[in-house]
Amino acid sequence: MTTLSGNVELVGVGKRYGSVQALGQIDLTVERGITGLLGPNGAGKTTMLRMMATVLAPDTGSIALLGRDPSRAEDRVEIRRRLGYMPQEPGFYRNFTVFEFVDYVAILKQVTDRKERHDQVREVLGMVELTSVAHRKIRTLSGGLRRRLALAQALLDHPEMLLLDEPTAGLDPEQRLRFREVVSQLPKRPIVLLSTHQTEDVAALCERVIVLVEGNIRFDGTPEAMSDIAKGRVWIAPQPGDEAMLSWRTGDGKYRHVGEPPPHAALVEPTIDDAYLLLAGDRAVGITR
Amino acid sequence: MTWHVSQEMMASYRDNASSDAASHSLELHLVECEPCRRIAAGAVESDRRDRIWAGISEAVDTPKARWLEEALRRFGVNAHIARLIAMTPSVQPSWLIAVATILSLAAVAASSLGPIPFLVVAPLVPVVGVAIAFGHPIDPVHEIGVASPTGGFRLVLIRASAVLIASIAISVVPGLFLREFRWMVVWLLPALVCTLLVLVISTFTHLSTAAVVVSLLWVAGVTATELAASTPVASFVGPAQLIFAGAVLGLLALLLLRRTSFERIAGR
Repeated sequence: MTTLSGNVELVGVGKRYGSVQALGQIDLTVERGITGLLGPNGAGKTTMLRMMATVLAPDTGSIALLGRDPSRAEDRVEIRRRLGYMPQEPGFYRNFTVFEFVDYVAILKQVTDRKERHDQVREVLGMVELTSVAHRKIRTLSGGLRRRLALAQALLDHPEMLLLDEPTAGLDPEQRLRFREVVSQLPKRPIVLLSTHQTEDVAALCERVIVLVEGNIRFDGTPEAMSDIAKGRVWIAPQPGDEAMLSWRTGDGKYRHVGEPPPHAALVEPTIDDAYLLLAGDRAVGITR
Repeated sequence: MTWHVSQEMMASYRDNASSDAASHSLELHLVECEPCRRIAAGAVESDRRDRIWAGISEAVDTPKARWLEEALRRFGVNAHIARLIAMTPSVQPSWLIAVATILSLAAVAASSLGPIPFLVVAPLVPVVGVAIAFGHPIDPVHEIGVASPTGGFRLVLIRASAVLIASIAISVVPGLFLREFRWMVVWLLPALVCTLLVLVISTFTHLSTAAVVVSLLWVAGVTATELAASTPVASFVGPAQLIFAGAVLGLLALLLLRRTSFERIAGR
């Protein structure tokens, strides 16, 4: 399936690992701008991103990326030229310096002119503020710095489609702010798809949210529309209650309930967190029944 | 600080007209003195300063070429291909030294046990080399590599060729311990067969599993042939070489047919 648009299009896409259905029948179009893929662990986020990164083929359905068909060899190379990909576990050559590593990925991306390649490496290292450690060996870097290095290689060559799998995992709050700044200020407004299980990232950064639970899309819309799902279903009460789907004690000693209210509960404005808990249910807090 | 840089000194330095001693003295002073550094910065046109700075950045940033990369470039290999090859784990000096040592031991053993130990081990060198050259879980950057335009089949071919060439080149050292020259060459086709077989099998399963399977098959095959044959070293001479040549062609065709599976990270 090849379309003329430069979007990402999934039609009836499914993937199964043995007896586990990783992705159901997914129909999805992703356009330019920042889209967040939100879901608990094992929801199928990584599987979906790997398919869009052309490194995993779907069992069923078809995918078009930037108007090209990734199952065709020549289209796949063209897609990969325009792709920036940060895998969930990027992996590094630990004895390389930061500069050497990004330079190596730039070679893989076929930026063959040395001067141009080095300029690009300097540019992306500057974007993620790694210039000062450019000549340090990767094995000496902290987890947060490695995460930024993984982001830097994905930003090489101004990708039209940027896929980031859990880019903020392991980053401290200041680094997360910096990450949001970098991604929101990318020139030419590329297609950015980032997976996360942090609702704050989505609320702060994304124009669109897709909630994936057990391989199926549970929600697709703006962060505001997502919060609205929980309207009329979030309550504050002085005591705990069994009726709510989830309830927990907050810092001020009161209990926040999502779902059915206990007696004497007062309705409050929902957040995107509340909506996520409603959509993902027990899976959002790591309970599998 | 007892003195500062005068306009005349700075102009002379900028125009490369000051003596070595005066230049060194001025440079040392600039390291210490912020106001003079500001004067120095203003003394050079911004274009020239930017050019000089870009040159310094480039000189500092350019990764140091590894010995293999230098050698390949001298032989006319493209600079970026040379770099990709030089980054392959199994062509690093530590690996090559280990290989040379193992093969040397096998070659020394050949003087008392005959050439078979050497001939069995030598073709497995590129097999193990290929297994650690790329592929999950051994190559940590496998997924990024596959998702790149070079990734997949092209990268596999570049690296497999590098491993094969390096393995053959390094075998010259242990080859010096062998009594007959022919033992240095009869293992080349089997090495190619084993390497290609690993790559073909790796399109169905993990590369490391493929390497183990091929190694076991190889050792078992040679042992069975040697036990059954009436002449020694029958696995490597005469008709055996023709069989290996045929196998190389067949496996090359199979590899081309299966090439798309190198473009994915799963289902292998």
